Amino acid sequence: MKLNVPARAALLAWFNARERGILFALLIFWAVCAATNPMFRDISTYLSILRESSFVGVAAIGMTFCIITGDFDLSVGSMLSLLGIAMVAMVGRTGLVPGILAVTLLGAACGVFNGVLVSRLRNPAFIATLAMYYIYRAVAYIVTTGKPVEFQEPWFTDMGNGSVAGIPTPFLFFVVLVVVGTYVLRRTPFGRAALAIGNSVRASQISGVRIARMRMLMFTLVGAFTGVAAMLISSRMWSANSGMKVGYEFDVIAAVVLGGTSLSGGKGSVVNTFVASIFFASLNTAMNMFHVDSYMQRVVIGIVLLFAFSLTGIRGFVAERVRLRRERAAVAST
Amino acid sequence: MLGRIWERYFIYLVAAVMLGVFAILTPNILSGANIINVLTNAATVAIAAAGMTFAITGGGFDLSIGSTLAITTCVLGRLIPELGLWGSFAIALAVGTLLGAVNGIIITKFQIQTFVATLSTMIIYRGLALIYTQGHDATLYSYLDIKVFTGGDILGVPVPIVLTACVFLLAFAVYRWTPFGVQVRSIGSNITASRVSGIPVDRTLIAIFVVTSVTAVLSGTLLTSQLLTGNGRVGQGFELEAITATILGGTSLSGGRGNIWGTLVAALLLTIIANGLNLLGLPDQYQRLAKGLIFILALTADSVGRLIRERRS
Repeated sequence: MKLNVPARAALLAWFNARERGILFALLIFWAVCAATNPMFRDISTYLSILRESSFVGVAAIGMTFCIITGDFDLSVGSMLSLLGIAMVAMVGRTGLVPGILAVTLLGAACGVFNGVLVSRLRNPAFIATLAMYYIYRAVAYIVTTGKPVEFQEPWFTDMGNGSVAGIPTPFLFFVVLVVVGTYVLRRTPFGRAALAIGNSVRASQISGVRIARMRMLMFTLVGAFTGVAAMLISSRMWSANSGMKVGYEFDVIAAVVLGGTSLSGGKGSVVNTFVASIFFASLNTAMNMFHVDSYMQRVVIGIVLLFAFSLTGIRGFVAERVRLRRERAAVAST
Repeated sequence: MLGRIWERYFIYLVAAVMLGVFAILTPNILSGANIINVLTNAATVAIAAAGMTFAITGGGFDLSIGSTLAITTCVLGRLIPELGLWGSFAIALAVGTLLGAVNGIIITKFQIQTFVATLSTMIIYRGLALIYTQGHDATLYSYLDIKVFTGGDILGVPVPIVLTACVFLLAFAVYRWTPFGVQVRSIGSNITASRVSGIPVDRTLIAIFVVTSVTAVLSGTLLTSQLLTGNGRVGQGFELEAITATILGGTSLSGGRGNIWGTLVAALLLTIIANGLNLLGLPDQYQRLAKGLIFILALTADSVGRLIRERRS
């Protein structure tokens, strides 16, 4: 295939972009696994990875928007538990589609609440969502008195466990939401405003972005996506309870940050969050297949995270060294 | 000025009001035995929160202390039968120092934000704790030496209270009067300016994370003494408890302004609430609700303080 020059340049740029790092990491990881373990040559393994990736990934899409504007939300794990309980409790009465809509709206409502605390009352996101981290789970406990709620009709449990044309249902949700999320972030004024706020609150304020309203919308998005994730997870488990998914917020934030979205805001991509979620799911699956001790698995995940986070620092360090050496060489030659 | 004072002392007001409310609802809360009980329970969070106050004043977080706490219980649980109490305690302190130094080195040398760096080590350290005990309990039921940390007393004052008092007096002195304290505050307010003015930023940051880890080891020792068990799963969410106490106590999240005594009062407040609700017979989860609501209250108070200040100026 012969490409014209601009197309070739674009292709090269695409490959060279730093942002593709996580994609290459995933492909290399898959290649190594496939070379060493026959189970990684089976399509069903990959399908199961894609299914597992959706449960964290869907919420991570909303979190990507939030982190891009320079905020983040510690309450998603607790919110997930509350929304999962709401989903399971109401789906029998409302039916599937109204139930999904309702839980998404309920999630958005929780998000509005977080958003008001952060953007209207001008509190740091860390503290405000830490408060809600306690409250949502406590409410979940109080309404259920700590007992799990269950709903086992197949038309509901298929959402998390079933497949459509061979593709896991949760992954279909995930892909659709990733496409929508990418479109919104890259092609709409809303998305550009989000990136602008993350880069400089002052500059975007001067150029007419309504900061408070935008930040509030970001938390609403996190809530809505967490609602969808709660639906998928409670369907997967046929049940929900007030103690489920403790620490989920850290999984979600880790997926977003591993996807290259900067915690200081202004930079990020939904597609990379998508790839990073799949990477985490692959890592978990691979460690199970290689019989890595379940405790050792945590250590490995932590080290991978550390490595990913230090890439920028290491790159800067190497660049600095190279520059110094060049300068020294230049001085020596004169 | 009024706004400042309001922000700084708001938590004392809340603590007094809560104590008053519970004193009316459950008079038992003021009994001598219960007060000692509250102070003993508060010690675990308070001591780690003292360390966390340094981290947050320095403009960072340490999310890994819950895992450091777990490692401490495991080290004590496994080593006390072989090495005795004080040898194991010394090793736990050494391990804590090492873990803290690793945090600090990762943060300074790789230039990672403290949040994500300690998020990673939180996961790693907990994995190490679980590997070390293979997920089992290491029980100390026949090694009751360690009970001295929560059951013993010095001149009639229970050890946890003495320990908390010592830690906080030391923390206050270090924070207020030593070069280290000044450097921490300076880094928290403006890290670039600190670097330019010759403050050894990297060394100070590493020291901060050693401090948070060592206080977590002390908290872990108290916890082991209470539970008589070492287990890799304890202390999940402990880091958020310590951060809660620190922030409620009036330490600014944006760095540079800490409040050591506020941290102590906030830790006591959280324990009083837990204890009061307990005496009222409400399940544990209501404590979480109360904690969240107090947080919202404190946030609103903060907004009020800000409003007063803006109105004045």
